[in-house]
Amino acid sequence: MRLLPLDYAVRNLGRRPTRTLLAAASSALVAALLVATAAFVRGLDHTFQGAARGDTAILLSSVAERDVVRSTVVAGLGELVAASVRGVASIEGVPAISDEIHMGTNLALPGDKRARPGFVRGVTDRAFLVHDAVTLIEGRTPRTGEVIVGRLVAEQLGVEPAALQLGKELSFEGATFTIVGRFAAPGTTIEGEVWTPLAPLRGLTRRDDSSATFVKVTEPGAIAELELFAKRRLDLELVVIPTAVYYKELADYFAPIRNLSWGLAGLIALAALFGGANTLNATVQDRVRELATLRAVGYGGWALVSSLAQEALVLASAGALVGLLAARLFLAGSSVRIAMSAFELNVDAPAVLAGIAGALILALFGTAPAAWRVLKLPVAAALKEN
Amino acid sequence: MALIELLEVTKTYRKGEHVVTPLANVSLSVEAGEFFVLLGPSGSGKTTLLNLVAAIDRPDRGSIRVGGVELGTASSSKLSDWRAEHVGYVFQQANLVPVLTAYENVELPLFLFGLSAAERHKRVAIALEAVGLADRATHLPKQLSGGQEQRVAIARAIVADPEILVADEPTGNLDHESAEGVLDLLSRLHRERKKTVVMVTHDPRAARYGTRRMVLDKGELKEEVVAR
Repeated sequence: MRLLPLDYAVRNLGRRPTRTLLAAASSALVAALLVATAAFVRGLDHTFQGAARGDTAILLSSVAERDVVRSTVVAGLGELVAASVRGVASIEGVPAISDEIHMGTNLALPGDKRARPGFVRGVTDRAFLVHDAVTLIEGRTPRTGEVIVGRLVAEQLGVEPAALQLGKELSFEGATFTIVGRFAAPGTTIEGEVWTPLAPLRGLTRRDDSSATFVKVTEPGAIAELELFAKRRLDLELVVIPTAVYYKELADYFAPIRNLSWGLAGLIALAALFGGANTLNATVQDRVRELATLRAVGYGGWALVSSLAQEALVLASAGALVGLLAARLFLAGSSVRIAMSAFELNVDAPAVLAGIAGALILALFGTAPAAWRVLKLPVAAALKEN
Repeated sequence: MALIELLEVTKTYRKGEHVVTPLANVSLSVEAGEFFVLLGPSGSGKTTLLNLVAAIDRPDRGSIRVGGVELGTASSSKLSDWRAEHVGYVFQQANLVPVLTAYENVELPLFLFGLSAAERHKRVAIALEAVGLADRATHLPKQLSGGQEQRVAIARAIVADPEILVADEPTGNLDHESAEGVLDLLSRLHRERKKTVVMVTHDPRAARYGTRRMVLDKGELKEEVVAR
């Protein structure tokens, strides 16, 4: 099959500038939207995957229905586990076991008139042994009356990052805390949390227990030892959940949001598909005599279809490029609030690929009605069309 | 043997609820090297017959052989290839691609032959020279007069050096002077390049350029007038 020169397809784009611009804008929108959706979904997935580890398990109250905030376990559970369970990892002789309080509460900055829902975790220094994704990037670990904040807390609270600089104050549960550190935990929901020492938080919240105990084991098989411990100590009413399972369940909880995002992106892409198909169909209608002339000259139907596809692809590529640049500009580094946490949008190679591929595939599908029309073109009749 | 042979060709098509039969059992032969003119009133079936000869339409019944090739039963892609190689078509309107220059419009058929850029350039230059528009090669169609556009269309029709030129009312949209220029050009191509020309017209003045004339009326070739 001999094809028309690419030049013909490219120059045809200039024939109807408004139509071309609209089609390009539509491709840009689709590309940007697909990148945004992919970045959102991948960010969400990555967040839960980042926190999930094969060598860490959570001990929760068996009556808490696997909800760490509702869970209560005895205050000294960590010590009990360290003394009773083999296979617990230790770093420089310190067992990697972290008793923690997890609570959703209202946070307030100085001058705030409204409460800002946030997530606070009461921890000891051992938390850094278990949650090894957490790195202190500024300041120091907190003491009584102090907190450290995750990198995405500002986004999660909807305040300027400057409001959470070291030395600033933050209030919750009727007490005021000084920010003494900032931490990162890339790809986990932990980055949207405020951490404060466990013991003072117990006093403040009038609790003599913990929410859960996180245990790091030497190898994944050792989690069975923890399960055995939970079975032996029925009085403690414990359930052991590997973090890999826990965060998978949490990710599944957000599946409807993920599906809704893809559904919405799909609907908009579908609208763009019909728009593109309509534009190309109108193009064929406008050029029906010219196309018939090319057929009369000797070009086959598929050569014309191929030229139309080239037109659509060139236009979609240009539009997608604009969309990707816009997405890169506006989305990279952005984060999204979800429940009482936040996560970063993941504008990575697969997300960009989804944007480009989506725009190009839609462009190709959009040529189908026009292609059908060209292939079925009655040349003799079309030559007479005005 | 005649170059073009139509044997009892019938062509019908639907126009709304009516079935129209522009050609009914028409037989015709055109010898190689003839300038054959087909006259007839509007709607008489002249263009239908021309389209059959140019292989852009198929008959419902009958046989069409051109250069010994049966066109009536050939596949669509075969007909495309055949057209590219054997027929140059000149339409009533030039039908040039508006975004391409005169040069590029003339070059279009040559992409079907896989020629090198140098060979394409040579052939386009010869074709534009033949129609007297070498100096308008870089002009877009909108920068040309109606007569010049039609001459570019003729250059496009002859650039692949086909043995047959078919022309459908090639002067229908032109003023008298431009029309004379186009007809002179077709006549010259017929004489000097030995092209077989099949031209459809309803203009008796244009018909004078033919070496043989026939009249098609009500689906039948009724009259044959040998000219000059």
